[in-house]
Amino acid sequence: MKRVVIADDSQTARMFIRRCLQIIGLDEALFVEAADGREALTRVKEAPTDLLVTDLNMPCMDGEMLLRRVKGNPRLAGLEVLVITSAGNAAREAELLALGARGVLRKPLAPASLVEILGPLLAERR
Amino acid sequence: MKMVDKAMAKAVIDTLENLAFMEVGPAPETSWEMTGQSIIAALLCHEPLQGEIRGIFPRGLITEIAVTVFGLQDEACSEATMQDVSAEILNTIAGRFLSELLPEQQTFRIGLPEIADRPEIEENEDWQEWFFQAGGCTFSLSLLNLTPDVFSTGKHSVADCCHPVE
Repeated sequence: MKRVVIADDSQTARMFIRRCLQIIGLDEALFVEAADGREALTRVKEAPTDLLVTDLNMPCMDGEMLLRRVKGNPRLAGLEVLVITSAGNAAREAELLALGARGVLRKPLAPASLVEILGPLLAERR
Repeated sequence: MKMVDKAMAKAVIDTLENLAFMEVGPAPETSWEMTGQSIIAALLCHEPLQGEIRGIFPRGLITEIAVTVFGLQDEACSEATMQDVSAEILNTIAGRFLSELLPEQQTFRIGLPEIADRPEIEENEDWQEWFFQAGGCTFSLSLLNLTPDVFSTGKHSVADCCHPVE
């Protein structure tokens, strides 16, 4: 079973992301939710995780810092990170991809865009 | 159509159609009545525009969205859920609006959405308000004290880029 950590300060956003992931084939994944980057970092450290989906704009620790911390930790650096943000544009997306994000998607999220980025990942890990 | 009108209409349509599969259209101001049954969400724009974006959403609309997103029954929607849904809708609309309005290479920064209790516009505030309709409810989005001025270009109305609502 795949383990997916979803970090967003909005419960609504977490639920919506989870539903989209279920639609694209992760219906049997174990979903773990975190309300900010700090909590998400704790969650990805506590058990092997296949995918971290994170918002950018969060209290305590934002998504960019979370991404930096994950990619800077040798034990976590291989974790796939997908950033979903309401404050996205080409320049910001390029920065996040350079930091190691697998993909950057803008809110509102559409399942089709998730398939585009995560499709190969889902196939690889089946 | 003014660029700012077009950007706001596209942001609202994209957000509600994606999040809740709702058809959105323009609404006349005369259909608007803010009551105690509305939830007000607000967030600050920090860079490169400064100001506030505010949404006033009827509870009926928010309940419908919550039911769709969470699969809840109407009566199971807590106040916290209603506020969270309102804040997330505004957050998504605001981000979409700014990415539509600003050049693709322009980064921007917005604050965290909050539930507000100040529906009134002060006399000395600059503001622009748009009215939309979805799920049989009229709701509004406003820009307050936005600098630099984004209202001064174009000549059409927000209705031009909305789908008609049956």
